[in-house]
Amino acid sequence: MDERSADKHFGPAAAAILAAGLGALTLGALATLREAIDSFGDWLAFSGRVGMLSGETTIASGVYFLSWAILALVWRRSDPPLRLVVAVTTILVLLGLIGTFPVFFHLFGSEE
Amino acid sequence: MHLTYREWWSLAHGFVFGGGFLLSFAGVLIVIYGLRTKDLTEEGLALHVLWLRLGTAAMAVAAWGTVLLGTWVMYPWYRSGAFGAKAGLLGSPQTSNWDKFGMEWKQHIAWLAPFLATTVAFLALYYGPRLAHDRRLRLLLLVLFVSAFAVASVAALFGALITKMSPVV
Repeated sequence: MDERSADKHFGPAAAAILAAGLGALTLGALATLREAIDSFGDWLAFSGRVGMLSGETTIASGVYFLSWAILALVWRRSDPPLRLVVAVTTILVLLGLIGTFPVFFHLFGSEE
Repeated sequence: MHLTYREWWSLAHGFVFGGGFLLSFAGVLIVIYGLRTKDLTEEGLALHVLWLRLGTAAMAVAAWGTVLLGTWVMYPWYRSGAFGAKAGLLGSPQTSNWDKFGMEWKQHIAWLAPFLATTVAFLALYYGPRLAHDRRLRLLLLVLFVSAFAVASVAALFGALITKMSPVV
């Protein structure tokens, strides 16, 4: 990698940062949705041995890597505002944390 | 000392990968903190950047190793069988919340660690020496890094306590 990094665009870094937020949000949303909709929870059980966690984590990981790749391609030569990227990512991660907190997602459905 | 087949996997999950991630934190934190141009010679900066890249990359690998082994190897054993670890916890009202709250939280929040740790490793690889010149980027890296450690710590704490309550054997 080029060590003359002073002139590097922020776009690729912003893509990686925002992707982490999107991965977190996806995990939180799936954990909550599986409680709210029984049939969705059943669908998330990609592996019978692992159960719903298999689908939740596979999809969240897919969203993380795919969104990173897409955003990195779109922003490869641009400089999105750092403050905005950080603010949006913070909100996404916080929503992800709320969505993955059992006290919250158990509000939406019956216990397993 | 004799370990069962499952205990060997448990050791790899919790001690090698998980423990490796948590123990590396302090070292990499010191490298990030010390990454300032005013405190480093050119050779010192190059060495710091090398350690930062190696350290964050190793921690990202450890984070992925921990959650992949935890989800796909350990968790099926935890939840299987009428006398398994999960059933053991759910069998008593006094311990059922270790599964309903503890395990549920641990197995989800742990997955945020590899996302954040991989992003940190990428930033270290991408920017390298610029991190020593740019305080804002260094602070951003630090916040993401500490966040990865924080969520991993919650998962590790519950993992240790749940294993103590009802081990996978």
